[in-house]
Amino acid sequence: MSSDAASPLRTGADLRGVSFAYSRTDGTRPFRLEIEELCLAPGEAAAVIGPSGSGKTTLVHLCAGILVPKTGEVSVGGVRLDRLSDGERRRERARQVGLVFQEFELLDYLSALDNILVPLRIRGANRAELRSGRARATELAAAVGIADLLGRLPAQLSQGERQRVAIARALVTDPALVLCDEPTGNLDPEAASHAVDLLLQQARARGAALLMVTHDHGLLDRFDRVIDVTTLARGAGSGGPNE
Amino acid sequence: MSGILYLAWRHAAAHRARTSLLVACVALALWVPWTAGALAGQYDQALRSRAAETPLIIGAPGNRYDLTLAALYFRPSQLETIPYQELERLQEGGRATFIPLHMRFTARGYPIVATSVEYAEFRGLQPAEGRHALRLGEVALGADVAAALGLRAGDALLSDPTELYDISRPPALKMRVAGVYPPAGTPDDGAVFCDVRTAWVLEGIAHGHAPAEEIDEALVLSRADESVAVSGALMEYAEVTEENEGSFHYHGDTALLPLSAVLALPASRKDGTLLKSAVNAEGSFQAVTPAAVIGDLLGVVFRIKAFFDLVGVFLLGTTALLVSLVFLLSSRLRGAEMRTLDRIGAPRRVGAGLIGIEAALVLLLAGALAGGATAATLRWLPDLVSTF
Amino acid sequence: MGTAHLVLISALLLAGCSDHGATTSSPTGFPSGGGELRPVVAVASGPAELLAAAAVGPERVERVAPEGAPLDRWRPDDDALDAMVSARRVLVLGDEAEPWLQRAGLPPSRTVRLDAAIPEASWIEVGSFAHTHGGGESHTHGGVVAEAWTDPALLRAMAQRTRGQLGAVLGEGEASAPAWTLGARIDAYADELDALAEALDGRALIATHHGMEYLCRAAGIRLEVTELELDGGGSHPNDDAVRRLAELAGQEGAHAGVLVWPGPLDSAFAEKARQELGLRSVDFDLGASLAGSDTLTRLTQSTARLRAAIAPE
Repeated sequence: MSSDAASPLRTGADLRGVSFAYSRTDGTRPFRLEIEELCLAPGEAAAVIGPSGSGKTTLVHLCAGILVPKTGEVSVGGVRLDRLSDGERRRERARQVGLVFQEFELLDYLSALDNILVPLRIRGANRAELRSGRARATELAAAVGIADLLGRLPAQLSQGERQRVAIARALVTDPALVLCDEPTGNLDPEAASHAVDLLLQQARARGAALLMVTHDHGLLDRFDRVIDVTTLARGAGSGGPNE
Repeated sequence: MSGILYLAWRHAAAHRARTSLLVACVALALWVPWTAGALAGQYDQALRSRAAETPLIIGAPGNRYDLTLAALYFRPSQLETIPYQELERLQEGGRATFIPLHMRFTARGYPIVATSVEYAEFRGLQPAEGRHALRLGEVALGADVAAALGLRAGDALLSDPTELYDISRPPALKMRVAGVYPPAGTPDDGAVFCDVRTAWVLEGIAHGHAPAEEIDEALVLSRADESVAVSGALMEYAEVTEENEGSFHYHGDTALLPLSAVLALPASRKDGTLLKSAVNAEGSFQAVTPAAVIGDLLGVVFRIKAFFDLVGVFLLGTTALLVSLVFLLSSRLRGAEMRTLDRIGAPRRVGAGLIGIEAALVLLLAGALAGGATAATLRWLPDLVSTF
Repeated sequence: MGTAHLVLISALLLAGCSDHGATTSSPTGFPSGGGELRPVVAVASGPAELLAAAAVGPERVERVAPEGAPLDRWRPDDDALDAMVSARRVLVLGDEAEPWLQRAGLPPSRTVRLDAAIPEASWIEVGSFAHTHGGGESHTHGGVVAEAWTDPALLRAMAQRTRGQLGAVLGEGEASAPAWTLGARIDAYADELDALAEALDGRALIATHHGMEYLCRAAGIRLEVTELELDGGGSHPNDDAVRRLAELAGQEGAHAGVLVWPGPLDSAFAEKARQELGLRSVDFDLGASLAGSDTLTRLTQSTARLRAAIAPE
């Protein structure tokens, strides 16, 4: 990582002049995503909406460093991801970014506690880091209401419980940015509402910026702002809350 | 790396049945060639070392393999005999120590090795209990024989009958156990040792009976001044006791009593060479170097063993391919998991790492299991060399 | 598993490894005549003791039989067997003189037989007893007189063999062989035999036992043997032998007027022979058993005593 890529100040996410494109395999015109500017302050929560194929998931992947823009800057927690090598981006992602997926994507052979600790294990955390991580995981589990379920395997948990384990996993590294790709898609409305509240509450409590892709417009009013991915090229990303 | 190791371990542990099956398959594929190789090596080493420890064997002309296998491992064979006087004649030459061997009889199925006390000294056999078999009708038992038959010094052991239809001869000789040798890990453990004179009693060449002048007249067929013919109903003694020992005697010239072979322990290498060439040049008997004979014998079977080695290699190769297939299918099944880890920020090729480590774990466990099984097999399998 | 099993069994049965080259035989470390064996010569008879002491010195000769034990009936006990097996050499006369040899497992490489020094033609054969039984062939008991050492020439041959065979008893750094004085003593014994023959002047000796055969042959003495088979314990003599003795005693002038007892003297019969046949009994020690003095001394003294006892013509 270059020295100017890191910032001493903790920030959420910052995307500027980003341009990303790839050719489609079905012969239709190439996909393009242009982002003039998208800034998320620490503790700020934004919902991302837009029609299917408009680039919501691509936006999440760009923020996570999974995808690298052709041009433009992508910073997370003050680190310029676009300037990093693949290995460095992976390490930064494991350290700075928490991810919650629609299918939760828990590892079926690990207990709830071990699933929460996966981001620490894959980045090669040492004994001390694991010890503190385990304490944080326990605290998070208590906060999301699964303190008694830490020894269970995912198959032994309900959908809602798995969702909470996934939330705890996303937050265990104390990330600068939490990215959620339709995390409530598989939950009933009540559970979805509860899960979003939980996510917002935990992210805000930890000062993490939160970007959530959702189709559930009933939940939008709970976010600081809503970003329509189709307007990002016009600088909508910097628009006001609940625009 | 430790995090990946942990995940691999947890995956293997969570899929116990699959992992156990893989470990068992690989362990079995390793155990077979390892054990066979180790046993073969042990066997080969023991065969060769016993042969190398025995400088020369002298016997009647004939198959040198039979002579060597009989003299070293007490393998049953129909060796032509050599007269005892040949041993005395060789002894006069002074080039070596000569040890008589007679191996035609068995007791409860174990070979009776009739020899002299020098044999025990040569093989380093010191009785664990009792003493060497120094008297007519005494035996000293190899450790396995004593253990299998539950015999101790002072007990009795019957020889196996050989001439069931000669009613004048006792069907078996009741022999007193004078001593028991400790385990030596050699064919000596499975033998019954006695003095050559006892073998001659078993041969019927020496026997004991009531003095001729005291024989019941009803059994005397004819009597002259210097000879008496006695009925076959006169029973010979079936046991040598302190009381009747004095009546045991030989028929004819003791110098002509038969031996199966003579072990020669030359005083020097030069003496050994001269002795061997002298015996072979004379032609009446043959002198063989056991190490060379066993070397030839093992050389002949080596090519066949190489074939079985090849079979072992194929077996291992097949198992390796099957195990690889299992892991390949496993990696396909775990694609979603790998993508999740990749997105969360796991290092590139984390999937290959997880599969590789799990495979390594399986191999490690299988290796340990096969190693343990091999050691156990070597420990518990009966000593092949002593039962060669 | 079938293939695996086959591989295992076959590999075991047909095992052979190429990484071991055939080794050549090496001289053995077997302690023939040395090592842990005691540097002594074990003996159970008077002649063996005499010859062994002359060859290696009396301090290296170990008796394994008690003094006076009759050679033809003695049987070694376990201690005696152990003593012989652990000695560097065992010196024995042979099966005829020491029948126990037929039934004891002595180490052939360390056992020196004195009968091997006697040429076949030198043995004296007497009546043997053949018998058959069962399906076996006829076999013979007795037949050869065992006391060959009483012939000075044969005793010299035995001494010669003993010296050659017992050389290994004295290892390097151990005591050297004693001065060889036995030859002169045998000569003195031979002279005494000659003197006896001279005193007999052609008259025969009457003996109760064949043990006198060799010394008589050596000295040219005529010997008449009556096998009285008395053991000195008051048993009754064989009638035929008594008749034979009476016949011999009746041939006055043909014998020396003595009845020589090479075995144990039977006092009752000796007295009867003196009174009824006019034969004076003389004890003659052939030196077979172990005793206070050595065999040659006893032989020489017995010969001198016999000479002194011969009645003057």
